[in-house]
Amino acid sequence: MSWLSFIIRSLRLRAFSSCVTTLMVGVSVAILLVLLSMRSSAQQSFRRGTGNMHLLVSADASPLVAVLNGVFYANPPANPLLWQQFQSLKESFPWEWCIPTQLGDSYRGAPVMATTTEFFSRFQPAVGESWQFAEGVPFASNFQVVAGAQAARDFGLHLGDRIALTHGAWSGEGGHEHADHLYEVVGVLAPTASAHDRALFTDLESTWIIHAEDRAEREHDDHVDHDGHDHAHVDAHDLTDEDRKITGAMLRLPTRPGRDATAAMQGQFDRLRRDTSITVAMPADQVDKLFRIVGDIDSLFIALGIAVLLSSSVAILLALYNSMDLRRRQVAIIRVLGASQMRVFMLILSESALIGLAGSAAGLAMAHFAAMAAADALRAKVGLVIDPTLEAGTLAAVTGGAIALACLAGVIPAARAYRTSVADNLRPLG
Amino acid sequence: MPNPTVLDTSGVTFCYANGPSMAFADVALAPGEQALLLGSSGTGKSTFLNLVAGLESPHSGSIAVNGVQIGTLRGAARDRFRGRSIGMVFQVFNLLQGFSALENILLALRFSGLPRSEHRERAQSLLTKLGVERVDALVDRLSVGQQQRVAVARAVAARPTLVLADEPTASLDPVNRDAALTLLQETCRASGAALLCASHDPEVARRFTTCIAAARQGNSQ
Repeated sequence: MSWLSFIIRSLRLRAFSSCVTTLMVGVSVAILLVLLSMRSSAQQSFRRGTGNMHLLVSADASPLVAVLNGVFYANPPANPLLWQQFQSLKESFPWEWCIPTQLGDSYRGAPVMATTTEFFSRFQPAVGESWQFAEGVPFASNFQVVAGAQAARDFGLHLGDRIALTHGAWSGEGGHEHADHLYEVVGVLAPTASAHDRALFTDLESTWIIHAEDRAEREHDDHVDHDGHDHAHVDAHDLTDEDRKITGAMLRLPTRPGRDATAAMQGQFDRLRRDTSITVAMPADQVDKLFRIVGDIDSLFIALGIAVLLSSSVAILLALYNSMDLRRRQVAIIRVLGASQMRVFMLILSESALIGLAGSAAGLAMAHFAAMAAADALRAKVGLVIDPTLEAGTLAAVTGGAIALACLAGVIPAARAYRTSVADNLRPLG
Repeated sequence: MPNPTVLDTSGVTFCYANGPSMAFADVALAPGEQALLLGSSGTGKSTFLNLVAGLESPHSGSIAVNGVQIGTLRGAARDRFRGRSIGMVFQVFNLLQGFSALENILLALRFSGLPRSEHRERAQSLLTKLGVERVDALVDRLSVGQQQRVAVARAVAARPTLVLADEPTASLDPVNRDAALTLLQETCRASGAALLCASHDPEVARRFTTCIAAARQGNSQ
């Protein structure tokens, strides 16, 4: 009979207490792992999403909202920018690039960004990492669409599929479907581990056309009897300035290799802020600001996780310590059979370590599913695409810490077993 | 030259904290010999067996098992020596509850020094020989008679040279008492182990040719 079998059998004799303490360790390990994994993944995802843009211009209420909407697709921006404003902005400085974006449409709840092909050729979703196409190519003419990796996977989109976009409805409900114009899927992007993965991308002109048609129909309905009329048809050359609206502009200043663009960026930021009709954001700064806001809460959660882990160790200590009252005869018997005091000490300590090990394994499994669920919720609610995986070092530190604490919790019960009087505990009870 | 005695004690005294001092009779047992340690309750029979097993240390005197002064062994060495050389049977059997009959024997064999590859076969054959029918059943689900057989099997499992039995029949009726004593004595005889049995029961004394009064006042043989 191996010692491991002996320990497992001893734990099974106190199955309820063993399971509860193991579960406590598991839950505390899972809480810590989920918090740590979400923190590091969210930070990484936030920093990646802003990519290589220096400034973001929109008509949102604040710079933070501009970044959350324009980069992380939190909500459709409420206020548009006029095309003339974009043209002025573009001509106001020799930007390296200046890319217009228009958000508002959706496909089955996923955001659709209308933009130009520069979005694929100049903007990088992560610094130094250009877009990669898993399939197909960028849109080249009207009513073509490119799907982000997550969107393609979620909706089973493939090259050649024809889809109808919906006006609004980022929550996945309601909205008006642009059923008259189907978009052909011409490209599927490779994953970028950023919020862009769950979006779809199309050209600005198509978006302007379908919204111009919607406007023309509304105007027509206001003046003419509804019966028997055809849908309004709008071509690119029919578009007016009123139709050409965008919701944001991504900007990058010209840079030279090895030169820091921070000072120039700050200068342009200050210059643009003087225009009160627009909101200017430095995305990287806004992400830092967001982390500063949530940083204290984050630390509090980590501290709570550690406190739960410590309390689970106390639970192990109490469970084993209390069990020693019932186990003095068992200890005395194995001592009579030839086990040394140190052997008995190590057996109790091993029981404690095994609870820590089993709890850590359970915690790993629980953390995996909880992190997946949390990642899904973040993607659906906030638009943040995260990969909730942990570095091996963090995993080892948390699980190793849990096992070490469990061992520590076993020292007092083990010492009690060590000191158990053999002769006194072999006598008949009563 | 092999040691002619399995157990040799002389001048052993012991005193519990705040208790009276006890002086024990000298005992010598040859290999395979069976003796009864007789005395009424409180004369220190169990204490003497614990001293012989190395579970307590005498205040004075010497206790040699197989020629080894057990008092000179310390800690783990004493425990290891006990596991290999001495088997014990108790009034309440003291089997490990929640473990099967087979596992109780296998655990004793862990300390026997016998090769691990032989443990399972030896445990199975011992239990079969002693008439334990459900070797995989938990001991708490066995009848009292079956538990007694498991306890005896465990005492001789490690091939000890000395078996100590502490009131092994005290809780049994006369019929079962005789059966239990027969089992214990025959098993020890078959395994070649010497047997020192402590009892207050004069009926048990009839089963032994050698009876020793536990207290030092005198021996009757």
